[in-house]
Amino acid sequence: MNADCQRALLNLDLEIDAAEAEWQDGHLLGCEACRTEADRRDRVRAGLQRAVKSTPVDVTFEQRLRGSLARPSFLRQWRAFAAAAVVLISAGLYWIGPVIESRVRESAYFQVLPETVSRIMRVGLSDHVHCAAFRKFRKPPVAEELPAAFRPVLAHIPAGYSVAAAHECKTQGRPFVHFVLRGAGEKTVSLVMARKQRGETFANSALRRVAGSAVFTEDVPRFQIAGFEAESYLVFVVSDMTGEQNQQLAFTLAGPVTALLNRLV
Amino acid sequence: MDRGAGTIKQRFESEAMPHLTELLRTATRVMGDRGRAEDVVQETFLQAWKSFDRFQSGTNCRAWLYKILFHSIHHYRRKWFRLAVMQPMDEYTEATAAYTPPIPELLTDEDLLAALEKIPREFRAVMLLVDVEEFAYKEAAEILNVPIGTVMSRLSRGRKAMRDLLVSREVAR
Repeated sequence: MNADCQRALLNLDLEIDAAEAEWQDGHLLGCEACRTEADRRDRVRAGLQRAVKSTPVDVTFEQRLRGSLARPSFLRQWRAFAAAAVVLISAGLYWIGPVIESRVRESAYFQVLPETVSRIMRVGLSDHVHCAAFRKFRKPPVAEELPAAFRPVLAHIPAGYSVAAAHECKTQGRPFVHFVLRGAGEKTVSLVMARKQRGETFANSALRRVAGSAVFTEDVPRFQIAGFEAESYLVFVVSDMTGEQNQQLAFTLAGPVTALLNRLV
Repeated sequence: MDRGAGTIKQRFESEAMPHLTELLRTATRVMGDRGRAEDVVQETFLQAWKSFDRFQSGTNCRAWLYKILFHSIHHYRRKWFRLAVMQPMDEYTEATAAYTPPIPELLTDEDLLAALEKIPREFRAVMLLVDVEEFAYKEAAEILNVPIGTVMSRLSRGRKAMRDLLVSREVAR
């Protein structure tokens, strides 16, 4: 492929001015390889357009939308106020109650957490207890909405578990990326990631190393916790699985998670 | 539609409503889920109706609706999941930008839609706007609220990813 062919192929994805279009036409006329490639790309574009535009849509949607638009605005507003009132009352019963309960249980947990638990493990533990351990998640994300970059990591989640929540959160002023998995019997697993702060590393800690690996663990009340690190991140797996299962999961996730985090800016 | 001014209702009927189906199709492809797509399209048309008296007749109603649509999609996603900003897009691009494979001769709608579904959402949105709905790059940039250079690079990457996926699907047969 010569420089003209490279220019012509590059042009296929650009909006070009009249002079460049003239050059392009001339090149395609004289270059069968580029002409064939341009035809193929046109065929894909045309095929994609046909495929998308021929997808059937739900004909009742237009009727429903029209019904919604046709409601008098005062009625819509009245309904909106009524709906808001219902939402507020329901939220009190449906959301606020469990949230308060979750906060009470979180507070109670940390009150009895032994001071001997290391500072570094408290990082992951705090987010698990704050966001996952005592929370109910009612609307799990659909696979399509999970970030594509994390799909190789999520391929390793244990059998019988699914993603109940995935979000960025903040606990005690510190931001986290947090995946919450739920399995049978409300078993919960957190994959918690946090940017390292100054001096934070497992390397020089007195924590137990799992089978000579880069995964560390420590005994904490009620949960199992294991941690490892990427260049700029600390990663924790916290769960109410058995200690062995938790460590095994951390061990399995360490490779793909570290590889992914080391690629992030 | 009780806005009193019959002309507004008529204008909305004639200028906005004809685009409903294509917006719904685009939203479904971007969101990957019909129910969520209906949510954002409904929100789009409610927003459009509320502010239609400020819309200038004769300007591009279709592009205006798409701008509201992508704003609604962005808002819908941001409400509960913002992690997408962490995707290592450049690396994905490097991995897929080096080689141009031949495209299979026979392409079914199923092949094309399956490939489209696997393309990262940011690329897919641009392909839907430019390749399917035939918006100019400048219009797509305004709809997505990104620079025109971003539109061009996402389009090029998306098309490249599409070709790779079609080839790999062909090879797998």
